[in-house]
Amino acid sequence: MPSSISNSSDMKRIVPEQDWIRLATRAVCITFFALFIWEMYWRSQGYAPTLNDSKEAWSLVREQIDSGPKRTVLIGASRMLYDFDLYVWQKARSELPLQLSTVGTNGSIYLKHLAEETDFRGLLLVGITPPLLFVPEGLPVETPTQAIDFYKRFTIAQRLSHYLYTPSDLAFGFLQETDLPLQKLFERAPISNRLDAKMPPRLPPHFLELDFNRQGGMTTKMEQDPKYQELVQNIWTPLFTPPPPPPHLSPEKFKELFMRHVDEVIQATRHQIEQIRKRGGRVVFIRFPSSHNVRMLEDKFAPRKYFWDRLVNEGKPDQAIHFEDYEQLQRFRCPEWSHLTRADAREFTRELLNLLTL
Amino acid sequence: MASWNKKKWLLLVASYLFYAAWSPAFVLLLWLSTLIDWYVAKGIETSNSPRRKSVYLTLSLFVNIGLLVFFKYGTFFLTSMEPIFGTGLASSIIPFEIVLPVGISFYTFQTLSYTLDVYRGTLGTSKSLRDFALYVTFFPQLVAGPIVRASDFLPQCETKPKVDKNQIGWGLFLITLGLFEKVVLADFFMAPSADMVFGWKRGALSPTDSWIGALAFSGQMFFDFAGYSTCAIGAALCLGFALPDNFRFPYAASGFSDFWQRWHISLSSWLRDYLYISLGGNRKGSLRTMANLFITMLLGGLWHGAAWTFVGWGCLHGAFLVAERAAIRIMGSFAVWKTTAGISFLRLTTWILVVLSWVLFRSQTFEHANLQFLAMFGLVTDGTSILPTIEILKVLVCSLGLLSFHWLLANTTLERTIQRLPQSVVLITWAAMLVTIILAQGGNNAFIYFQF
Repeated sequence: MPSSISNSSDMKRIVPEQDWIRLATRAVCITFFALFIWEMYWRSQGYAPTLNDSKEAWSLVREQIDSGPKRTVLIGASRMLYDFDLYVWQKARSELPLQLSTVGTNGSIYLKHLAEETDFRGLLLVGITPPLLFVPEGLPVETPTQAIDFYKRFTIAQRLSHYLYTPSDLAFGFLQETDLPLQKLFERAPISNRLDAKMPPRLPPHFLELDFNRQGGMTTKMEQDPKYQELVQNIWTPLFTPPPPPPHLSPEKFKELFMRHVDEVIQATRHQIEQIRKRGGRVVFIRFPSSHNVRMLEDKFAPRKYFWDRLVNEGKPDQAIHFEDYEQLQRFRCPEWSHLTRADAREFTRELLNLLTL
Repeated sequence: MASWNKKKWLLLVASYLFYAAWSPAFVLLLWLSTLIDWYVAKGIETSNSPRRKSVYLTLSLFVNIGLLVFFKYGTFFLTSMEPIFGTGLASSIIPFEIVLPVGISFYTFQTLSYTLDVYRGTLGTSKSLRDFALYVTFFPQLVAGPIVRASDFLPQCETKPKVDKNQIGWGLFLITLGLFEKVVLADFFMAPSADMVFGWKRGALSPTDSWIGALAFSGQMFFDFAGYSTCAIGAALCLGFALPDNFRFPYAASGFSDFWQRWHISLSSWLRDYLYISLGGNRKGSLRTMANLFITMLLGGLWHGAAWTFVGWGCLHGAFLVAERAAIRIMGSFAVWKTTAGISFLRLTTWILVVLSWVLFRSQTFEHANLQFLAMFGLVTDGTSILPTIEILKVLVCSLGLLSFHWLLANTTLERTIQRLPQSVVLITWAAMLVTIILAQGGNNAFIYFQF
């Protein structure tokens, strides 16, 4: 068989005869030119450079708990990421909270981790999005589980890689990871799927911008463009609608099993809150605003009486703040029915600070 | 010479830092393996007594295989014995989680090949511990091969290589090609479908999804591993070292003997030289030959990981090799196998059987593999469809491209092919690879073979 080694007794690889240095220089120049055009296109579409919400970025925040177990920590899903302003809190309390929330996440995974695997004993603010908290499997569980597992094995190489990549994330809009990698672009190709194919829910584009401290926020496009808001509103409907029961279970049996799961989650939550409290920590539940169809779906599939109220009465956090219970928290508008604008997030955080008794 | 020694020290320290960036503590294991085999080989060479040589060799085997068994297979073997000895056996004997050191399967085999060659008298010991340590630790191939023979690497340490600009340029091209194979072809084209199909836990999938998943993983496995090897070869070239090929268009193989001369060549040749031949090779009659082939492939499967599905995969390839031997005895002389149609038939058959064997390799359990095989052969009627059409198209296009390239280049080399191309074509190809690597952005997916 032909070989790439020139001589079997002398280990030397064959180098094809081409002017490789000239080729390398030209290839790099063409690459830079192509990427420049690509960057200009995506800037014209409203994409600005942002930090990506990577597992490395999460780990860098998480590790601060080990050296500062009395810090204020935030956990939950995208509403805690968007609707809470870290810097308003910092100005009021002279402490920057540690933001551990991740998009589309079951926050109970983070609560369990903090209660059982750390020495955390500070103030924990838990963003409660009722349907998500009780999702037993899928991405809402996988995302936080993978973040925690990644942190436990966070290596020097991964840390260095993050520091090396961050400047390019901040320089180029096309490196935004949620919408612009080839994989995401191809997923939006107008090719119809098989009629019987079960497709995962589509996540909204232009969704998130993030800074070094993991302060999330709505993009300018989402804040200002009504057509774009409508697009995202239409995406929320299937996302907030739970899947039908499996075919081998009757609706009654499925409901029975699900409510048993809800009981277990509430009991576990209570136990984890007690663990944190015993160490001197405190836990506050916060229900951020939602509106229109999203709120209707949440009320339909996770009614307050059976979920939030039970969680508060039986979980026994130190304080619970539901936006429906306070007039000053009801004046905010969610442009796409589920999250606040950056300006409203700052205002909402100020109101929260006034309401917190801890 | 002084500056070459300095460069070797620099490379050695850089290699240790490279490994320590994953886990500083496990550098100690590298040192253990290096020092044990350095002194064992010296002992073998200076000893006159065959018995003493055997004792030294046994020590090297004990340490290297022992490291592998403890870190890789300890919990697996104990868990496998629990049906006999009761649940909790593994956790009672090993009450902590064992982290598998990256690259251990590769560097232990590498150092073992050194002591075995010295024992057989085919290699003299290295005069420099630094050079030997560099052979063990050389960072381009440390974590996922190729498994390099000391006879190929150590002579390169003795004299300073002449690295010209063209060699560096070609090395950079190979690094780009390797990254393109990994980031674009493996992770973008193939991995999404493979992950969806093999991650599905709610019963059987449709025949289409099952076949696409199998094709996807077959492609992913090749591009991921060949991509790493190509990067390693390119990086080594830039530093003035030549590493051997690890893949030679394996999906153009016309039979399983041919496949194993094209796939993971450094491992298959290691298993041939140190296991198959030690067991007797083909010198003890046809039945014993077949048994030796089967055992070698079974252990080759086990090398890949601590799971019975890997053993099953190895056994399958063992069975294919045995069956091929028997078929050659009966039909090997037929003229049809030398025609284009005959060769195409052999290639297609080999490829399909290899794809089917990858199902076992990738599945978490035999049950899952069994369900997938049933679906692939239409023996399940209510399978679910989960793959988006775009993913199916990506896998089909990429698989067709992969097969075409392999079949076209089966009897030549990448270097000869590139040499024949116009410079403009090489330039556009290189730029296109660079652009698509950056646009794909990667998904933080580690190389598959890092887990072995």
